[in-house]
Amino acid sequence: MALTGLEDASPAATETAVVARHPLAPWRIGVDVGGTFTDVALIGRDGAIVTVKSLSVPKDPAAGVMQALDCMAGALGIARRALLKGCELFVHGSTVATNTILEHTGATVGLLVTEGFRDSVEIRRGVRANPWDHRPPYPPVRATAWRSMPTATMQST
Amino acid sequence: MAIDPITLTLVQNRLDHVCHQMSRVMVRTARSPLFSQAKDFSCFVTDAAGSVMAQADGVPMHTGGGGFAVRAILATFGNDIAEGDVFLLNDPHAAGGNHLPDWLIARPVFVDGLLVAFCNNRGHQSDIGGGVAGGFNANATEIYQEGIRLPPLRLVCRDAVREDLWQLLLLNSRTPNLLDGDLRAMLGSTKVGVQQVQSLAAELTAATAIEAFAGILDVGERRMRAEIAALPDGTYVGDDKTDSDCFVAGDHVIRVALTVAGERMRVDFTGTDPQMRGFKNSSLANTYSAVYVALATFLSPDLPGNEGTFRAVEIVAPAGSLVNPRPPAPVAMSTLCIASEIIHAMWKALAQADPKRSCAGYGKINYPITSGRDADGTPFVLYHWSAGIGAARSMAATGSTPMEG
Repeated sequence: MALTGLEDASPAATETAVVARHPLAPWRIGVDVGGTFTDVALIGRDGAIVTVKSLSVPKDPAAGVMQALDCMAGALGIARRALLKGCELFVHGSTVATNTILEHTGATVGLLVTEGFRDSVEIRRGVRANPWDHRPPYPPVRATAWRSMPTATMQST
Repeated sequence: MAIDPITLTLVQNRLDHVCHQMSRVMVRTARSPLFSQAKDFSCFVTDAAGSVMAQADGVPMHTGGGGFAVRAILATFGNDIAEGDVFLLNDPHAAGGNHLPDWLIARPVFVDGLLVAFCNNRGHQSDIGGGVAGGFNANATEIYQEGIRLPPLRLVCRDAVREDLWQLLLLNSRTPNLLDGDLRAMLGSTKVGVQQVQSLAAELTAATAIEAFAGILDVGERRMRAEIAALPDGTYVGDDKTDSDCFVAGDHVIRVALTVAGERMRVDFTGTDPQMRGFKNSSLANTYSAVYVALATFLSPDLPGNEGTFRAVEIVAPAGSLVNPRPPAPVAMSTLCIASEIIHAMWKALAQADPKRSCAGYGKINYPITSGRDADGTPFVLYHWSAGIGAARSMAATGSTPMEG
């Protein structure tokens, strides 16, 4: 399960750009890298908005961003260099980390804990997202007790 | 003209969100870890008549019967309720409270001079006097031994705190510093709630807001009727017991008969054992909350958290029984022990109506309270909250106090 990328990735929809009117520089660019698509939005000084949706490159998310920028530059009829030169603010966001956690595709992790508290994470604090719904199971623990290493003795303070 | 369903859904969600916002203010400003860590408080919004409209954030056992408290305020003060007033109560026998440690702060919401709602926060105080520190006096045989009893009081009058009353409250607690800060946090959280409801009403206009508030209760009623109608008609029974009255071993049994007839349900506790000597009697507000918890969690957690859902349900709680004791019965333990038994009895009966949804036990919670004196002689009371065990953790919105904290 990924936050984005639920869309149908048919080949016809791999790269689309929407240009309502040509924006005035300087502009701002925002990027969101999802599991399936990389979305880029540009807003010009005059408020004109240009959007691009292109396929992500999961092995190298940066390559997917450059590809999307090329698509945007192409749609505006300028070079990538000119596109970036006109940019005063570049905001880069990504759901890659979130997807890694949701899809359990990250590295095996351990946890350094105070001695005597190895089970605290798995015991949890009893909080439920919806207090009225007691049926859903808790999400799995990433660093299970057997992979947690006690490191220090609790000192009374 | 009736308000469309989409607007009603947005209004319900908005009021639910107001509960969350009030809660966030409380967590960030309260002094006691019982609030800032364990979250043993609940924010809810009622309409002008005291019917619960939203109870999205907090302890379900606090709020199902929350309307009793606001209605007690209305019965006491009638039309003498003005903008800038804040009310306080706790008594389960005289003021619609659930048990004495849970203090209810209610702040009226006025729009264009018209009372349209109340923003409320019910929070468990660290100490309220009484026979033992922390409020759970297992030796109590009368409510007088459980702490200070508060009828509906005007704590704040036209934006001015009644200082004499405030001092009376602090003087009756072993932890006046905690109480002082925590009460102020409750005042602040309800103030933010009022601002939010006022801004909602300003967007809708006061007249439309009032109509929408009535509308969401009607939606709640329709949703509950549909849930009940999906159960086969019939009478289903359930029971559960607690094995002492705190003084002598022996069973004290909750018995319930659920009768489903079309879209209506009767929840009849006739046959439940008489009230006990000790403090595990359930106040009426607590019994209503327990019934609400059992029905909402079993039938659908998506039911609107409002009192409209109760219109399709008739509750029969015989006076003088464990589920509706006569004064001066002690009731302090009821929100935990006897609430679980009521919920178990309800779930057992519901499981006969729909075995597919039967569930494991509610998970009765136990937690220690330490108390004593600091080096300078100042008393302290500290709750080591545990949010409960079992398949259905009982105090679902609360969090165990971190041991490291």
